Amino acid sequence: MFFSFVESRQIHYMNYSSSQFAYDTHQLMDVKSVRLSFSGEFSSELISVLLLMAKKTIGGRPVMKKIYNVMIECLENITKHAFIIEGDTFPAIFVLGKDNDFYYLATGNKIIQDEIPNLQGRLEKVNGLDRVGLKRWYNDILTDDEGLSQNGGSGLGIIDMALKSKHKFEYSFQKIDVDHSFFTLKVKINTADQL
Amino acid sequence: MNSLRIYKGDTTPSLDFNIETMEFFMEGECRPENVLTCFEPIIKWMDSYVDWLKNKKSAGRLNFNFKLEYYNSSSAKFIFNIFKQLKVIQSNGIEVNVFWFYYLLDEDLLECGQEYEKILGLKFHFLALQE
Repeated sequence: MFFSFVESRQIHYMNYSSSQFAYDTHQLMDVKSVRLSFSGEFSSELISVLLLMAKKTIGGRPVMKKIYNVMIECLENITKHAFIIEGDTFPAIFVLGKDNDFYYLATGNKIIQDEIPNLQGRLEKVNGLDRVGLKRWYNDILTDDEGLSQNGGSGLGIIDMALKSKHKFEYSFQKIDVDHSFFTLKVKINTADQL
Repeated sequence: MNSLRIYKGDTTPSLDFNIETMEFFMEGECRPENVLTCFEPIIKWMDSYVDWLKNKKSAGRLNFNFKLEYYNSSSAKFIFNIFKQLKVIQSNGIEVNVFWFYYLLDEDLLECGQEYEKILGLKFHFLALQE
């Protein structure tokens, strides 16, 4: 039953004309007020380009500073550390959009199933802490004598993002196969922030 | 002992640590491709500078001008390390003043500086720049 469903969906996608796909994607991005998005393989050169484009799209408003800061952490998470699988070419996605009262930054990328508990634990901890608790946790990591992890992460990234966003993270894990899931993370920033 | 001079890169800051004037500047943006290669020479230089000052038994005043507009989370621990070395310099008899520059509306960067001040017990001066 399940297989036939997957098969029919694949056939549906294959027959889907590319102009229709472009139109539908455009419509969807319009509805979701997407300002900037990229799907594919991320690199540090690409990060610089995306940052430049975000600056142009959002403009010089004070909120841009905060978006810029959170955006770097988001993009570094899916290119450099924490969340990625070395050498994997499975496309990741980054979206910068605007809902009524806030901008949102969303990322999605493939992760190894075994890493979910650790990642989920940290995200739950961040979401469960208030500002004072987040700062205390940040300072504990900052002042301990532990070096960086192998992938160059300090563990400060997600705490830093939470402190700057002032909103709870939204995240999900969608199973790709037995060993992998697609991890999505959405971070919000008030449009009126710092105005 | 020579002064430390590092030029700005695309994702790395410029550094000017002048041992004659004891005016130190760190300026720009800091999100290096590889934090270790970026910071190792700086931390090493600071280590030798701490010893050099101590052996010289010099007194005086050191101004550290922090003018980074942005630093990423993986740089944070290294930057903290530089401040820890400044703290050692201070306990060796040099008066250390940190001038923390931030854009007026950048409350995040201001808060970071205030946290450093609290943790380190160094003298911080906060200077707001107009956008």
